Amino acid sequence: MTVFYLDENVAVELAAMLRRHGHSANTAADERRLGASDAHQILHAAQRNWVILTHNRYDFHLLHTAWLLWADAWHNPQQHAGILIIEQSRHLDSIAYARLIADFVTNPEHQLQNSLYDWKLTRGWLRYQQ
Amino acid sequence: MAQIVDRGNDGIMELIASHTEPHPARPGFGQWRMKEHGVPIWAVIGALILDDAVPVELAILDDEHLLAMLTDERTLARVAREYDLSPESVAAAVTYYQQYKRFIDARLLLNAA
Repeated sequence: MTVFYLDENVAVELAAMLRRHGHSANTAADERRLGASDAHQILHAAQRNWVILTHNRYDFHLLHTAWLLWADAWHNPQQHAGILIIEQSRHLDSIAYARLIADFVTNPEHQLQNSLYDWKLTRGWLRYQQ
Repeated sequence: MAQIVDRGNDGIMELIASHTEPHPARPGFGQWRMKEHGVPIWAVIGALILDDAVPVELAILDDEHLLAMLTDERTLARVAREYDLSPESVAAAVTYYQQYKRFIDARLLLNAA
């Protein structure tokens, strides 16, 4: 089972759909983290070993890069549990997104720890490390 | 872009003021959010208009395409349900987009990169 943390830009209904797949899901609202900066959101999730789900591609790519780079530069390795960036599409509902994500995280070949995966319908998942 | 709902200027600003607010941690019109659940307006608009068959760079420039997306009752209802927003809130997000389109478009373009 994976524990997800849904950023405030992700539909809250997706949390319920992920639970139907046997996962645990917490939203920024559940955690009273609405309005927190993205840097605080990633820290909140990392401290709890939760995988972040977000539609915010631009900011989370930047934060992930900084996380890895600074940890390495300061010889202070810190792990986050994973960041999943999901492209928005008006053709996909929460049921489809939940299936996509559940299928992805249950594949043992996908190492989430300290990784960022970025999904687009046109090319599927891409893994980013530093 | 065509005016989808003709509320008059006072009505437009009242609708926006009732349902949207600046993000407390992120400055700029592109970062405003819904008062309900703190959902960013760009995320609501993205859920309504982003279409994997049409690059976002083209989608945001095509008024006819945008009008079709923003008035699609089925998608409006689905997005309201999925984000747990009232229909009035979603209407406010669309109205905000009409008023501050370039800022929301800039946010959507950053995400598409």
